[in-house]
Amino acid sequence: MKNNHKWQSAIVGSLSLLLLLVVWEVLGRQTGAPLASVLPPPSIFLSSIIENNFQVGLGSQSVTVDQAIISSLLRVFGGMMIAFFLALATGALLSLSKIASWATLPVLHLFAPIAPIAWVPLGIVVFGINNITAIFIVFMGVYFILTLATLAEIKRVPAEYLVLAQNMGATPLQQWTRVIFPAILPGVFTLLRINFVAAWMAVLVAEMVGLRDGIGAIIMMGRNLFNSELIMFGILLIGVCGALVDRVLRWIQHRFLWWAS
Amino acid sequence: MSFLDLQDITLSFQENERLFSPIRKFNMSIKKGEFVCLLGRSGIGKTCILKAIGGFLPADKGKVLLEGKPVGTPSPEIMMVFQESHLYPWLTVEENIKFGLRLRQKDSVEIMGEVSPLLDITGLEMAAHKYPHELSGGMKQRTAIARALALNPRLLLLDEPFSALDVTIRAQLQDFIQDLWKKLQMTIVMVTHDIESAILTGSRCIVIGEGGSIMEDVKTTSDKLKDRYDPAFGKMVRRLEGALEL
Repeated sequence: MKNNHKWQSAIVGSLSLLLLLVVWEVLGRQTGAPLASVLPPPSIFLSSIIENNFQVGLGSQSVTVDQAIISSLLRVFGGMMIAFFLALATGALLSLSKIASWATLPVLHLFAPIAPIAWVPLGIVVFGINNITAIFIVFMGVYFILTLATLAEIKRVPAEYLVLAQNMGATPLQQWTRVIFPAILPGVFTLLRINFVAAWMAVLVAEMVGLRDGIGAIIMMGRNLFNSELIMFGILLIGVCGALVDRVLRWIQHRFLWWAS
Repeated sequence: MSFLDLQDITLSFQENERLFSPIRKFNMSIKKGEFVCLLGRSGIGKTCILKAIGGFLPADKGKVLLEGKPVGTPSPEIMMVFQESHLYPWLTVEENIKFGLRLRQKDSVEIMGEVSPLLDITGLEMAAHKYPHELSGGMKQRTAIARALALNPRLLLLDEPFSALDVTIRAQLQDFIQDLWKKLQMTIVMVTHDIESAILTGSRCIVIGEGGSIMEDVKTTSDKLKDRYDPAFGKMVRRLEGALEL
């Protein structure tokens, strides 16, 4: 029954995507319609990209599509991974000291609601236009939320888990490595997955306003060259890559951190 | 000398910023190999006594002695099994049982040598690679007991192990614990509010009253008391009910 529903949802979901593409194709192919010039159909901009051997841009600024995708993903994953591990470490350290957590919590609560995009200008001013800026933006957008999540998850670990570990002779370090971290990982990872979208958007904005490569830069290239095909291709790429990464993160969660999902 | 001695212990704990002192000047002695069931009404302090024996709740006054030596902090010498099994959900049955042994950095062959007989004795061989969410309540409790036994404790403490189970599984687990006690000849202290379970599984029943007073202390080793249809069993139930003021 459950399997049936899974197939049904996959089929209905694929059909709705197909319908979107058909509508887009039909609207884009209406010659003379003002919408057709700014909304080229997928068949046109995709064939144009394939004709150019997946190379976009002109001269020294040209990049291949795979390079652009890898650059954007490395920036997002770099920032998210650094934020994830540092948040786990910070949350663990703060949970050991009440005074440290009292002193730090207001700061964390102050920074947590700031959208990653808000850090773009500051990142460019401080680090210039380079990869560190992009990683910084993702890090700032994710780190504070994940630290708060880590603290909350540590508080939620059932006391009995630790009492039992202590009973079985676990040292404080073993209690952390064998009980607390495995218990909190699924919760913190879920929040990381939820925040991926914000981090993804922030990197794309950074690429649009300064960085010369990445998927965001493809859209800016399209704007500068008045090439709506490139713009639409960039938009489609953002959506497809974002959805695929979310799928991968979801798979990691269900495959390796399934006990809280 | 007794195996376990509780001498004039007074116990208190804090809950919701209120201080409770359910046990005052409580005394109890247990011989090696006994299976003692502590009975009493809810909130009377049975679990507090069990926690004090395990070193989880330090006594305000008095001493807890295991073979003449004071019990300090919780250690694998005295293992406790809680009302809920609290198995680690990210570990399989086998890995849960191995947990304590792995903490001691034993090699995997040695660990398997100790865990295999436990899987056999607890009837969990077929479920060894299952995760806790795939187990029934009774299997979870058996795994929790196996996990405790893996560390070869001198004393096993059971805190209402049947309370979260349905009637059929409860009966199976009662038989299982009785068999285990006979096979391993170990000392067990079990807290329960179920008089019939206490008589059927234990070798001695102690009824705790207000403040930790002992209302009844009887041996229940007789074969007649292990048959719930024997008149002696019914008589014992009524006697303990009387002590519990039910």
